[in-house]
Amino acid sequence: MASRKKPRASSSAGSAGTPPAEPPVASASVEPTEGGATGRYIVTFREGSEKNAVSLMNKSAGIQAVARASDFDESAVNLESVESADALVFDELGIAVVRTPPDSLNALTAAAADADENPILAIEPELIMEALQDVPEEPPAGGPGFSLSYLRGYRDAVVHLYEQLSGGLGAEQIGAGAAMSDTDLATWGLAATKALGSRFSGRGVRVAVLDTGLDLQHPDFVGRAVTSQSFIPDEEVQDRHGHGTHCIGTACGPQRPTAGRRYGIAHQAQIFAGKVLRNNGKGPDSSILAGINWAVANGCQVISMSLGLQAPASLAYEQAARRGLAAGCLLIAAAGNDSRRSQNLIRPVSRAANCQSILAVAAVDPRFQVANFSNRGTAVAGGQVDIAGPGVDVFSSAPMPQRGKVLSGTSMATPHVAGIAALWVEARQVTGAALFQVLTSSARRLGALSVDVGAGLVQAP
Amino acid sequence: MAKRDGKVRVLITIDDEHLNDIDRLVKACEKAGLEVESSLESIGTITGAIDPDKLDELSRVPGVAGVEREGEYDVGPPDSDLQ
Repeated sequence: MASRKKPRASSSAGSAGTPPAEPPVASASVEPTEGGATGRYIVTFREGSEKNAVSLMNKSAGIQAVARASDFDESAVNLESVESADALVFDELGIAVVRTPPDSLNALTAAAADADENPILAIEPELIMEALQDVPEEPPAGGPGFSLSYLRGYRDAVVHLYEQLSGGLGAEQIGAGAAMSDTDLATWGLAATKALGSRFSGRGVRVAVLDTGLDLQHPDFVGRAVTSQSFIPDEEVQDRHGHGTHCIGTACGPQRPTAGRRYGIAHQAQIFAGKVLRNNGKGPDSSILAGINWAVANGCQVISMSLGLQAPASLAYEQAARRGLAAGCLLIAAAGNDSRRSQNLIRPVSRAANCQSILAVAAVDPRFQVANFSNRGTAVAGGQVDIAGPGVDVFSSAPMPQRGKVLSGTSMATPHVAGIAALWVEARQVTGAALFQVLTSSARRLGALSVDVGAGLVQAP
Repeated sequence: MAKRDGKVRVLITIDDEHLNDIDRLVKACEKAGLEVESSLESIGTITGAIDPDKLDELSRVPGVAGVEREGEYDVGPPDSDLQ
């Protein structure tokens, strides 16, 4: 047992117990106007048309001073320091926040509509969003702001209405396309999450996977930086179950595996393999918490937990996750596989994913529909599903001599999110609560209900 | 999960004010009857086992934010397709 571990001395993101750093939400310094708007506007660019859009904003709306998020250290934009700018461009997201009088905005809208290929997809008023830690279930009494849960509820109601009026066409049908499948190059999950085309590798990022361990002799992990520790008495890290090797494969597997298609995302991340489940697949809270403690003490920015238990939210996990966020460590956990939707059995999000400060991951299938087994979010604080990952027919590494195999579960969706989280840490230098925000705000919207898939399918930078 | 000696395994969450005082809190929990297994400083948790009759006393120790029974997770046997 890793008892009496000292927190990492070099942890600079604040000591445990201090609140997480404010996420980069563009609202802090502006007084809200009518309807919870800030008086600024969000301009969404067409993909690849960013230069044209910025040029159009300049010519038609007189927007001249443009600040770029990527110019800031750690991409942590301080809005007060860009007060003088007319526009702030978030390169990674393909959006800009602009401050301009309504009449010049109208000129921009008109000019955009006249362009041969409109470089601007949408112009919307910027609304007030609450910081992650403080999202109330209901809008504040008397206040104009809309809480995130209110907005999601509104969206669900609209989808529900569509379902009713369209003659029973399932809500999950919206946006459903042809089924994706693995290619010779890579798994469907890597393609669907854009991890395959990402130029980021998780280099320098520490990813802890708390599971059944790792096949330390697997040829796909030869030469990788692996730190390992068992929190199971009398069992070595060596994975004799297969679950841990599969999950680590998805999160951190190689760019070029020794055989077959690519299945791993953060191929240059440092792997921290914590064994918290026995070789029979079972493990107690005390081992899992010891694993979390080890990962936080080692400064792992990403902690992946493909495990769940149908039980109420636990104070111990919530506090551990909150203290992890304060130290720059994001806990990501599986929503759980207890549902059988085809039989109308839908169960709530499992412990530990049902904590407010833990990112809860649902599973979708290759048609982007919620998986039959994937649990649903509840109205209880923290009981929500936050995001979805590929979790049906997932190929990844298996202990030798099997080398690789296909599995399904929210356990498989979770390391997709963890690996992609490592890419975001590298790309944007964000950790903790800000990383939570980046993951959910960059997710791809799905037709499925947000109680089932949260913000949508995780997307790589 | 009960142990053979009748003790129950518990997770003790330390409140924010006592995070830097975990060693003293471990001693206070021992005094209240806790058989300490580990103290996890980075996350502010103590794990151990205790006689069920002493749970109330343990939860009243200053600095203890909560006492919970330990649960066990199960990802299924190795040959299961659903994980």
